[in-house]
Amino acid sequence: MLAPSLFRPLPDRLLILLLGFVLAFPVHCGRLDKVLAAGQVRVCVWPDYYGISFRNPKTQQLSGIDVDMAGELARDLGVGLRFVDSSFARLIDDLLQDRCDIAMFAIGITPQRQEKLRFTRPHLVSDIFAITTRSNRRIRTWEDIDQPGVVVAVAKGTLHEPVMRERLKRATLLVTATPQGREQEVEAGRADVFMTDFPFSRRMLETTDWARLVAPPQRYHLTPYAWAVAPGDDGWHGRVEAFLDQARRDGRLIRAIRQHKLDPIAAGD
Amino acid sequence: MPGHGPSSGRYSYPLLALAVVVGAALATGYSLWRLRAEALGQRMESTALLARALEDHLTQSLSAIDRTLMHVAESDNGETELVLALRNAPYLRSISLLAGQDRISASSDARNLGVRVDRAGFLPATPDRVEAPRIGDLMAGRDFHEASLASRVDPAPVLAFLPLLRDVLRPGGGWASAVAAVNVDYFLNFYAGHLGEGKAVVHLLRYDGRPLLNSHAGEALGHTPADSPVLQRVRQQESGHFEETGAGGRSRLTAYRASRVYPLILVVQLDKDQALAEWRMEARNTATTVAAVLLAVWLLVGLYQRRLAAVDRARAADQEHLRTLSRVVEQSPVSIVITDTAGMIQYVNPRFESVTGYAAGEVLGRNPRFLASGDTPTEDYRHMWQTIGRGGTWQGEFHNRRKDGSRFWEMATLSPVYNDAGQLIHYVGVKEDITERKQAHARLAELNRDFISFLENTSDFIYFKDAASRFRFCSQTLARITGHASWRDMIGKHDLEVFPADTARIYVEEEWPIFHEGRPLLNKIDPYYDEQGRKGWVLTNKWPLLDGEGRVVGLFGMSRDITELKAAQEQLQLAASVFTHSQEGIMITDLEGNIIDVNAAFTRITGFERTDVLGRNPRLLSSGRQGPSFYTAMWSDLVERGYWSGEVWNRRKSGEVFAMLQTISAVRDEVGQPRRYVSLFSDITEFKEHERQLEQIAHYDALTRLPNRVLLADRLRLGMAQALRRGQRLAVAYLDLDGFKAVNDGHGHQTGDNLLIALAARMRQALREGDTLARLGGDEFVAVLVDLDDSADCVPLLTRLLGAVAQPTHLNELVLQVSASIGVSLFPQAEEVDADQLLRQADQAMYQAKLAGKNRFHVFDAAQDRSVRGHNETLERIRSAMEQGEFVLHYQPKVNLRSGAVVGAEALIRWMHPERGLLSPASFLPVIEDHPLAIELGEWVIDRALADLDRWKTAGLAIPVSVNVGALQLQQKDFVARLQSLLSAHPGRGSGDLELEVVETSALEDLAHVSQVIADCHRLGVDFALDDFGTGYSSLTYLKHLPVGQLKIDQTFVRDMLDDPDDLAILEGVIGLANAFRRRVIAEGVETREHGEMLLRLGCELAQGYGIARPMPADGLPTWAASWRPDPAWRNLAPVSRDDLALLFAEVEHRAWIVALETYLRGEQDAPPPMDAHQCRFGHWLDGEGGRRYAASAAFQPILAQHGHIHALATELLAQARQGGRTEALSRLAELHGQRDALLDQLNGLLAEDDD
Repeated sequence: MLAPSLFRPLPDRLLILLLGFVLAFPVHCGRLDKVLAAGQVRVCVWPDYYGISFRNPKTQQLSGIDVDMAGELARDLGVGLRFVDSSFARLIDDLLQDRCDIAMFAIGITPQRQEKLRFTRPHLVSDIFAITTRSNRRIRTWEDIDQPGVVVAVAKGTLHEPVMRERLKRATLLVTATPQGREQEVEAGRADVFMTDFPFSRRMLETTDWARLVAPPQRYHLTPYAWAVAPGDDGWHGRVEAFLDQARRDGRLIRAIRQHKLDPIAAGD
Repeated sequence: MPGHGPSSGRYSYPLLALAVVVGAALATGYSLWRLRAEALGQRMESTALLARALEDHLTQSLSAIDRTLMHVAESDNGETELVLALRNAPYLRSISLLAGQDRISASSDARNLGVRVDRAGFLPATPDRVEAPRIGDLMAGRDFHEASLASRVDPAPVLAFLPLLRDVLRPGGGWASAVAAVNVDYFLNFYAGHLGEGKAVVHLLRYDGRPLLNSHAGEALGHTPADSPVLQRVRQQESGHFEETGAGGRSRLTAYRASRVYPLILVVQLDKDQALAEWRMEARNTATTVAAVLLAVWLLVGLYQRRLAAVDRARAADQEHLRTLSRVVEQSPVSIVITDTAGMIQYVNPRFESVTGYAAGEVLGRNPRFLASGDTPTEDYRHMWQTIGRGGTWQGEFHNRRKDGSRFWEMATLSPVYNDAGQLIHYVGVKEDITERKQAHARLAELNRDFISFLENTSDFIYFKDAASRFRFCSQTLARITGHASWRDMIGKHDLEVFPADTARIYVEEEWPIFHEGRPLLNKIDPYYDEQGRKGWVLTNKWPLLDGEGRVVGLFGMSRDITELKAAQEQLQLAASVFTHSQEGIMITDLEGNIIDVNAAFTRITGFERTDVLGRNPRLLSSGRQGPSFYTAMWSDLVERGYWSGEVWNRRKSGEVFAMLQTISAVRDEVGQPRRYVSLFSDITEFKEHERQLEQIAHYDALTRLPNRVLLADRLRLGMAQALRRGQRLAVAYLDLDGFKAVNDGHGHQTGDNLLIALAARMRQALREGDTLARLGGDEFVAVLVDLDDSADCVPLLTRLLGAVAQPTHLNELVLQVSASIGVSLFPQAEEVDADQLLRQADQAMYQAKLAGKNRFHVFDAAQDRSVRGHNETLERIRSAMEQGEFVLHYQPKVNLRSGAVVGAEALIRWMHPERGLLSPASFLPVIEDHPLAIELGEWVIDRALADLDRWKTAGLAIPVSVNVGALQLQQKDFVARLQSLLSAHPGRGSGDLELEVVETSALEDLAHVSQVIADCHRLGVDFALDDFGTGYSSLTYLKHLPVGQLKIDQTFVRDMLDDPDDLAILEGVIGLANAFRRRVIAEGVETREHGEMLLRLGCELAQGYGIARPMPADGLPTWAASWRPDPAWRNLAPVSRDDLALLFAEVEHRAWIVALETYLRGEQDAPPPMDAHQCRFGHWLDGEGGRRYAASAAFQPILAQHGHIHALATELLAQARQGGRTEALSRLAELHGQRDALLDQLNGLLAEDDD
């Protein structure tokens, strides 16, 4: 893709418009046609996202609401499905560099991402939760988090990183970039808590015996979750939105949400 | 039976039970104690196992760290490797390498660099470096960079780590050291996951006794009780367990185990109470269960004990009971027999012996059937054996025989007896001698039967009541009358439930003295009403019922329906009263007719006293007027029908004959044989006389005693029948007196009546015996002349009649003379006619006679009548004409002769007949005169006239229209309402636009109604005119009461007024009358200028007639009105003064004289008028009144002369005619007329003079 620095004088959005215009001619057909022509849709997922797109290490099978919906999307399109491993850190690149046609792993809609990507209508909305160890004496309540000496871990590239960077006043923020990095930091005691969302916090509580949930006493920072596509292809985006609407109407979406016990964060219509 | 020692057995049970309970409690306690020890042992063992497992995990974890430290120390690959080493090692915070002076030279956490690690605190403590892991003291803080010695700084740090140091001898020589910050939380999390909440606590101690970790959530990390005996014990044995009493006196189970490699001791402590918690729960449950079971056992034993005691008492009671029973059986007043299963007697009681006469010894071993008399049906025995064979109890009666042979009745109850095993062992019979009871019962049953029969059959009301006044029984009659099917339905009912409330209350009240004072109620008579509401009477007697001590326990009553008896008595009284007081004579005879009794009325009517007639035959009354056949018929009726009724003429004692209406009835006995004759009669003598008078009134005219109209009709019909039979003719003469009215008016009604009487008598005499003269009323008579061989035969009779009437009559001082006009019709005629038609024809002819000059007869011309009638149309044709719209209205204008103003128009109906052309009303109105169609047509005329009125208004002609209304229409009840609805259809109409004309006669038929109608129409703005005025008989009174606005003078008067002084007189009178009553007056039939002149002179200005205009279609009227001008001669004619009226009459007299002369000349009259100029009426006038009034006038002498000329000319003409020159004479009439007109002009000149 084009590096933004080359066109700095132009506003990004205009640039994308221009690009869309210029590229539309030679390509002559959008991503939808490409997908249909290829007979395959490539879906970016983050395989660590429990309940959303989680690859069970014991079976290497993906499961989660967005995995199910990706399957439904492929079926609606009448094409094959290929999952492409991604993460929040790599998300934008993966989409913009055409490594996948769509990212489906409950991507929090943040202003930063909106600058680069185009989102579907959100289907989930989650607040931020903290996970600490059962034996941690320092962290008992949410208020204990933003205190001097407390180390708060967040995964790099997640929506939590900018949120916590902005919100934390006294505590120290630790940004981890390795897989399971933040939970290892907390379990090993190098950090006191790590910040995550509803699906991930549930995974921690269900799969480890050391994790302890610290929930915000009132709404802390709601983030709508959606799927993302590269911008500039209305046809593709429209098709995905149409699918989403259809799934919403015919109940496939809510069935998938319920199956993965995510109904507490299902987005209202 | 356990007869003895029950008490020892009874008390052994509680003792045994107590032993069992205590034993069970002891066993349970021992078991629980054993279980406790076992539980403690198990818990201790599991604690030891846990200590071992946790120590193993600790040692393994530390060994893994140690290996990592060895590896990093040996390889010394820098920080990257250190960081990588932390992967999947949650028990590590950081790994660092130590350089000189044990400062950290490389670390997974850069913040640790340069921190010095003090070896002093590490175990094992060796002065030299050895290749072994060493454990440091617990450090507060996250890592070395913020570490401080926990024991010094913070005995209970929030964040801590444990340093682990490793020295490695490098292969190349020299020592490398690495140190790890061990994440103690990892272990605490691990322990928390394995211990469970609040159970065991894990302590980690170093060998030097320094506490490192404490899993107890409430305590600090490194806090462990200092006086732990573990340290002493571990010196003797690396692992073990024991029970100790800790702080607060709480016991706990402690297991410890030293690490195999590291100087660490892992201690697991379990609170003893908690260890025993499960056991305690179980022990409690067990103890509770056992206690409950034991309690239940104890209770059961107690119950069993009580049951045993109860059984003992029952047995003792049974024994006593048996003894009692035995005595009862022995002394029983009934016989008791016990047999074996074969029925052989085993026992009898003394009563059996006394009843049967057999001793016990005689009967034992025998079957009881030896007692049988043979009278008891074998069926009874069979049934008995069936019943008891099935195990049932049989009860029944035996007729048995005693030892002495006498019979007796027994009521026996036989039952089988079984032992406890259910085997039959005996039969027991209990028998009672019921011989006497049966006899008594039989007597009672008979009594009862008879009593019930009595109750059900007696016709009296008989009833027994108990002390509560409720029916015990009563007779069926009473039950039936109170609506009960059976007297049994009455049992237990109270009067209030049986009788209507008010009746019942009477009974309750009258029974009070019976119940409370024992006084009977005697001969009371009450009314009652049966289901149909008929009143009846009952005679009632009631007596108290007393018990042995004289207390009233009820009552007994008898009531008897005496309605018929009473009625019979009343009837007898009534009959006697009727007989005595009857206004009719009553006579009772035996079959031979001998008088048995008569009543007072008999005496009053016949004059015979009772004593005079008793025993005598009624023929003593006979007048002899009835012949023997009369009495034969009477007796025949009496014998055959038992009844005769009729009128009989009898003779009173005084000899006077009288009429009586008699009814004789035979009185029959029960078997229908006549026993008596009763004759009822009343004196109808007066009635007969009255009847005769009534007949006279009904058939005869009261004044003249001549037959009236009714009898006339009768006689006429008889006469007609007779004429037909005999082939003769009959004449009906309708006679009306001329001038009779004048007599009445002039001399009063009495005189008129006397004249009628006299005339009637004379006329009667003028007729023959068989003829009938009847008076119809007023001055109208009809004579029926019979036995005429020819129609001409009647002429002499008619002449005689005329003569009889015309003869002067002397009444007191008066001499009166009238004449008669007679109309005659003859029978039979060519067409069939009935009596009424004959009369009408005669009437019609009478009018002709009148018209022809009176004092004459006129014979009805049937042929002419037929031709007139032939033109009449049928009703149906007229109706169809209405529907076809064939009727039209023509209008004749009404004008003011003097001013020339058109003052109205009279609507006249015409029939535009498709075949016969325009027909006048005379050809169809008479047909519908009395038919409702006349009303319909009348309303059509009004509607049509109003429509034309509207059209004239549109054309600029505003005149009222008048419409003729027939009698039938006028007499409708809703005439006004219908008129109003017709008017409302023409809203443009103004008040006075419509005038209704009624003929005088129809107005007079119902004066009150017509007056009211006229008044009501006034309110609608409709005025009335009286049409054809002068032709009827209206009196001044009538005119006064009829509020009509206008009188129309009939045209017959107008037409002849110039030639007929009578008509002129009428005209003058009518006009005067109208002025007097302030009614407008209009003359019909104005045909000539002279008519107009005369009317104007008489003071009548309004007129209509052909002389003004003929009736014309409505459309022609406006044009006519616009162009019409009155005759100039009328313009200046003023009404003459009363004084000059005579002149007018004189003119008319003269004209009349000329007419009479002409008639004579034409041969139509027998005699000429007076030819002497002084003998004619005009001459009389000239000589008399005329001369006196007008002699001074210059015109008078010429008038005299002219009159003379005329008479001379007339005489000449007369002579000429008499000499055969009639034709010539007639041709000179014009000459005469010229002279006449000249005279009239001269006379008018007198009037003109007068006007001046």
